[in-house]
Amino acid sequence: MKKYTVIIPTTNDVVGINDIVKEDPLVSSVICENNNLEALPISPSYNSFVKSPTGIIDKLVGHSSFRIDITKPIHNGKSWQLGIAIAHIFSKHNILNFSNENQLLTKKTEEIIWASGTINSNLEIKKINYLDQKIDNSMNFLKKCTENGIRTNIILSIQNKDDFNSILSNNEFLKESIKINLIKVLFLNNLYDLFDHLNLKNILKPIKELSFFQKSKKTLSFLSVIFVIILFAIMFNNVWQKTSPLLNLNDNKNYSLLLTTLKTYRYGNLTERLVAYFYDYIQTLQSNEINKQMRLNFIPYNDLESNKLKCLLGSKAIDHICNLHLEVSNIGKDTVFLWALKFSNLNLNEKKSQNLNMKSDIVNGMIKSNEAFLLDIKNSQEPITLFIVYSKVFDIKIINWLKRVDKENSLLETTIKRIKALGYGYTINNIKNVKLIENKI
Amino acid sequence: MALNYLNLSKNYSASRLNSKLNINKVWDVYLNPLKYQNKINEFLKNKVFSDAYFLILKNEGCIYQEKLNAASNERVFSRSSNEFKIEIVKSNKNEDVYYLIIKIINDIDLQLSNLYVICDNKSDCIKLPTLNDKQAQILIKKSDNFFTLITNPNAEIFIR
Repeated sequence: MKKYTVIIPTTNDVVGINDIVKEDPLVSSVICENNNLEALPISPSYNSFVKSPTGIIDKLVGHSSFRIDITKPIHNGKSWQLGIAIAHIFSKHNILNFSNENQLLTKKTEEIIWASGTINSNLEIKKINYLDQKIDNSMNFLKKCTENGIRTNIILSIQNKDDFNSILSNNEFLKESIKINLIKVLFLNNLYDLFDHLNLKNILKPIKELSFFQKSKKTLSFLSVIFVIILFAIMFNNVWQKTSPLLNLNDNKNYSLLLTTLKTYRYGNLTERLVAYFYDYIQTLQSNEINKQMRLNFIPYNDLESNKLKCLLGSKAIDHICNLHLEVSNIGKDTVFLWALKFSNLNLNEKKSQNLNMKSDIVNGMIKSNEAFLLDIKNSQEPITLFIVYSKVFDIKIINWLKRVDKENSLLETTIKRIKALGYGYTINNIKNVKLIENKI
Repeated sequence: MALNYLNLSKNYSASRLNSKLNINKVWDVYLNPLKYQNKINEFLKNKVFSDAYFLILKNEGCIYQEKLNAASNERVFSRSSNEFKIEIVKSNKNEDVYYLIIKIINDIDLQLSNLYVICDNKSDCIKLPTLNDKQAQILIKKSDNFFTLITNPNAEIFIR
């Protein structure tokens, strides 16, 4: 990238910049002449110009303390601000060519920035006085630049345009140099315009004042994360306090208390409801998994040769003369225990009136992976319901629950809820006396 | 007031003082520090003058830092009293150059024009720049006598 030499005109001379050094932030910024130990009188003004919130250099280049050395002293005034600001920005981006004590132009000089103006906090460039004297004092330097073919950019506030034009009308050298493009005059509203003209837009972008929240974004993000973690920890602790009793009751097979606790949770506070919901959800998943690995196949048959044709597979409706086998297959990987209850759909009074045998018709067994279990459903004239419970663990209590259902059919719904709550699978099939087989679930 | 210091004048006989120092002179230097700005370091080389001068400074008004109770004789780059703080910060431009930063803590009615350092019978003085927001900053060289004195924990510092 092209390097620029920055020149600041004064009413006595032209001043070059021979060094810019970052200093410890404890130090007030100073301007010195040619590496001398004595700070120039404008140092306090320069410090105010650098240090935020009064100054702009800190905001532009991100550092609050500098030592800058210039080739000739500047004793007062503020028109140095524009040149110094440009020099700081160029120095930060390594496109500033420093002058020597006795030599403003060096071998490395490619292009000159001759700048005079003051800048406010919005980076607006303001008018300066004594422009004619500054131009007069710079004539020899400008002539030397044009002789060497070095282009000079004269940077002034737009408020100085009329002053400059009146100077220009009497200055043939400037007219000629502008004509041949060795001197370019830029009248600017603000500092951004300069960087637009020099095609260095990326170097200086408009300053966006960060709000308190933007400045504290990192801290706020960190605090938010901590807050969320604490919130989750508290929630997890609450949930665990409610879940662990359920798990203990399940492990100890204390089903009656487990079901009572679950029922309480379902009508409890938010955490309890949440725990009950998740517990039910997980048990339903487990129940569905067992159901998926069981296959039921009703097989009609009749031993009499004349009736065999009437008892072929392929229809849901089976002739009443056919007997029925139920083949329960385990297509899963785990062994499954089953308990099958066959009970009449007649109510208890009807059963008594028909003087039926009240002994429960319950079968239980174990089906290993990819094996089947065959149940013989004896021919019956009455409609029956087949209630089969599946579990991956053997649970002796299931048989008692089925016995109670057999005695009191109204307990079926309660038993289903209990079975679901414990994560067991089940199927219910109604077999009507017409032997129409209907899957209820 | 000057009579209080007359006993010091016994040391100023014409035979001992080629530089024509006497109690009137000491008093004049105290009252008009700017007038003697360029000569003060020369005067302070005279032990009797410096004793008398610092006694007057102490008694008649100045801001002061006494010797530090330092655990070692290493150089001190930061020191403070109830009246002012001193920070000495190395320059990034030149290793031989330091910034001497003086921060006045309270509002003071005195005109503060010079900073004096006295240590082990050696003394030195430096002119203070105008205070800006109760703060002054001076560039000093590591190789100077002043740097050696002011960074010595046994130094007493006067500002007047």
